[in-house]
Amino acid sequence: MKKVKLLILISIIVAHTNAQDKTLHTNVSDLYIPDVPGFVLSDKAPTAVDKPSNPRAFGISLLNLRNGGAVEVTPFWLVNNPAYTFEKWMKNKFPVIETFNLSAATFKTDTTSVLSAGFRTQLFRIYSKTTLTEIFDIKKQIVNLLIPKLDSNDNPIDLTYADSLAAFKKLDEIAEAKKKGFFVVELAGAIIGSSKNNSFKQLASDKSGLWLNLRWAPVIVPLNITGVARYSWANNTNPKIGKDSSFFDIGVSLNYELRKLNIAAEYVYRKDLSVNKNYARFAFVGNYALTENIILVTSIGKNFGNVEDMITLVGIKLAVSRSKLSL
Amino acid sequence: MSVKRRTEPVKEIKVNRDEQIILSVSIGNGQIGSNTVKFRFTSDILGQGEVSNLLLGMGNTIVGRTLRIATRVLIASPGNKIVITHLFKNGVPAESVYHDEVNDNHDVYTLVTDYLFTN
Repeated sequence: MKKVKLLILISIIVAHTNAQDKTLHTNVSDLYIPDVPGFVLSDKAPTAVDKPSNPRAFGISLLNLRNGGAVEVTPFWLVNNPAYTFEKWMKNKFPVIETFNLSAATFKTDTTSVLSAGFRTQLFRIYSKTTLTEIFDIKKQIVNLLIPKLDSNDNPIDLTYADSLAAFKKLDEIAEAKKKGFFVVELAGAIIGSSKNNSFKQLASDKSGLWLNLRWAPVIVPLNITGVARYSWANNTNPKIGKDSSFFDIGVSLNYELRKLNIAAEYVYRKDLSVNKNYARFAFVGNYALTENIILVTSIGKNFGNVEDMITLVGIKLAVSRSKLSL
Repeated sequence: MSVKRRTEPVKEIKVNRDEQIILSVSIGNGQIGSNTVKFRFTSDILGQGEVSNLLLGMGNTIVGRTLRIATRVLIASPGNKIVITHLFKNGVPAESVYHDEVNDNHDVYTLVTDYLFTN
């Protein structure tokens, strides 16, 4: 019950701040842990996540949560920080506060209402010298493109369409540069509460999780290596059914990405602490783009457990969108 | 993409006649910005791009003149808030901070400010 109170408290703290009436959505692209940790814990995928840029919009998003959906907010960026320059943001090795992200999500099944709350943050982040040099070089080019030209009355002439396009293209280049040559440590946690009779009044905490990600991407090779440690536990709210369960997962994943080829391998070792048993999961996934819209997929592996645990798949994926393939 | 422009009324900066007046412009909230700095009704540009420790002149040479600072900002970090600080070393007030925000991450923001130096 304490956890449920904590969950509601987090929501109330952020919702009760002053605000302006705008609905722009922020993008905390620097976090590598997926959106809304509560969804990860409940094995659900959000269709849309509200990312309000100010406290009032966040409050409205929270009100809408009753109908299902997800909302996340990074409080640091809701207030002005005059001394926090782009250089400081990029060079900050401990952006715990800057990346601290709160989220809440609700969804309903036939019989239950589920509310989850979570957080994620970067404990440590460092870009390589090469990456930082590249980022600051691109920034210089943006600064040059943005220089206000003045007319005869000293009024700034609007940026030309070509210059503004070039500036935004440079911003995209910064986003690309940030995908290599870094090491980051991220922490995330989530708690899920559910109500058996679809009433939020009967909400009780039944699952929680805490996980740590370590991610490294070298500058030269298009490789991502991620280590993850996760502890999750279920709080059995019905004492007649049995004791609580808890799992400790530790794993590593590799992702190698070329223009047409994407290879990913993942190994997860799971210890079921409640029955003292160990499992392992291994998966290898390969995607090869035969054409822009036809992708050959192969997947081999072994899932947790000892029964029907083989993963084998060979097939063709037909892409109906031009968005980037992600494993 | 849209353009947002804000023009501020002239602000007075008191300066000491025998001290150098130095200007720095800081773009906060992790955004990227660029400036053009010049005295009004002159053709000389004093500074462009990032402006840090720009010497405007001795107090006695700039009293009675109006400095125009045009700052253009692009959203490069999470959030849509913009904060620009003009810092005048040996000027009073030394610091002028402008808070604003844009509606969309792909908007371009321009701030136009004038400072009249007095003693």
